[in-house]
Amino acid sequence: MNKNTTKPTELGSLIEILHITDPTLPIGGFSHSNGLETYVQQNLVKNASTTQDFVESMLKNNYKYNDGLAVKLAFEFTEQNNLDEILKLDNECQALKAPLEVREASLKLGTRLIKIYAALLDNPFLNEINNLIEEKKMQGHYSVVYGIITALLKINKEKATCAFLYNAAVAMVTNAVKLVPLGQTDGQQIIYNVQGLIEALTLEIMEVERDLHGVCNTALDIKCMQHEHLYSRLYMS
Amino acid sequence: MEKYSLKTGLREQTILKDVYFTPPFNLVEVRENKKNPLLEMMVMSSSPGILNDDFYDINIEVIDGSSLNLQTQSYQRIFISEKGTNQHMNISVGDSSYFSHVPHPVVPHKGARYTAKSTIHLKSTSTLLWGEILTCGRKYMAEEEMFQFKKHHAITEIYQENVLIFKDNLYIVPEKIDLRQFGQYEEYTHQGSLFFITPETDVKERMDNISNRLSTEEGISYGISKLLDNAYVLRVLGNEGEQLYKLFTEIRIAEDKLINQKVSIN
Repeated sequence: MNKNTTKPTELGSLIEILHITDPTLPIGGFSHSNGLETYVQQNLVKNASTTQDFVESMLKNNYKYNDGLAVKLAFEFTEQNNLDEILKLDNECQALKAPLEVREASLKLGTRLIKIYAALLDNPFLNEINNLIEEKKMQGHYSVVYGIITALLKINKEKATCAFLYNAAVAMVTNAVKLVPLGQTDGQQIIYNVQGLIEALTLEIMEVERDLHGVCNTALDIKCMQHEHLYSRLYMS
Repeated sequence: MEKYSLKTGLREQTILKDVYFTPPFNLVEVRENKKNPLLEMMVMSSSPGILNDDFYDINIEVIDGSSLNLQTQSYQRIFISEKGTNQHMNISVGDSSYFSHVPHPVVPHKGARYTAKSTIHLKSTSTLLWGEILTCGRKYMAEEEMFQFKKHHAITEIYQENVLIFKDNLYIVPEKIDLRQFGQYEEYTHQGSLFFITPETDVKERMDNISNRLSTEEGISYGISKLLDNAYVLRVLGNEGEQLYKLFTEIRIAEDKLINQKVSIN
């Protein structure tokens, strides 16, 4: 069964974005809390208002300089067909993620995402990336793989980055609803409240200097490292 | 540009082979037990700190089979500057070599703008212990000078056989980023990071020992995680520069001792 391929249209592109950021995409996004579980167990994130503070700070201080920026960079390097820079960026992501579980989470998501899309697209560039990952010549971090695929799908760069941030926000809120716990309405209110921030950050990411990639979030790193030793854990990170 | 550089040499023990410095620097050997194989050097400075337009250029070469510990004399103060002050540090650690460096905490004064780039090249058989501590400023001054600096941007890159294995990108602009937010400094004012790698050794036991030691300490938050089977990263938040410096120095001295013992046996 093949996809009916017509000329790329606005609607077609929208469907591609919805597909790659769909929470039901089986890459295991909801097995990882990226430190949130530690914050909840230490009673620091404990209600709707602290959850919103957490989500906002992660978007502004973490995603903007880390995975969000890596998406944008990987997208641009793919457009330029610059495999060397992609490999460098992917390795840089590996070197920047000091907490073991966060590094592994990013790799799990990335390698599952590329398996799905390598099969769907059968694109020579993506196949090459997939081979490099299989041969362990590349790590395959989620943000990098996402940037590559969205560039190959010819999704608009701002929209691809924006959707990535939105997906990250939804994942954080979904986890918080389960962990804190919060009511479903509270969760949706937070997602609604951060929409403006996501839009603004998307535009800011387009302008972030290259040497700000990977700015350290010290307390977050510590909480992610502490997660390895939590007494009971629902999440892998 | 203010410079210092040093290169180790090797006889029965590590010796100082080449050394070069311009004012305000001076490098002196501080090895107490002259029989120890580990060369211990201290960098001294006649300047109260990094002043406007200063550009520190530092080069260190630890040759194959040698071992070096580089110490500092006092806290590194960074003074107010419009254009900004800089430090570049290039380090190469050879085969079966050892380098340890836990400098005193950095104290950025009100109005300071500082950029640092440290690049460390290792071989697969090198051992490295590298620590960095940043304070919020002169916290105990009458006016409580906390987070009054303009910008602190310190990038550390550690390469093993020319592959980047660890990168730390510390970018603190207090005017732009509220450090009390989740994920930043939260309720703390000081932060430190320590990186350690040693060949063909699982660092699990070391990590457990450090965790146990730090768990007895009050007023800090810490995490330690494996970067590779033979490498860990330790991050600590606290409220006292001296406390973090003592803890990191303790870890450093323990590794220095192992080097002295190991090389003696050979």
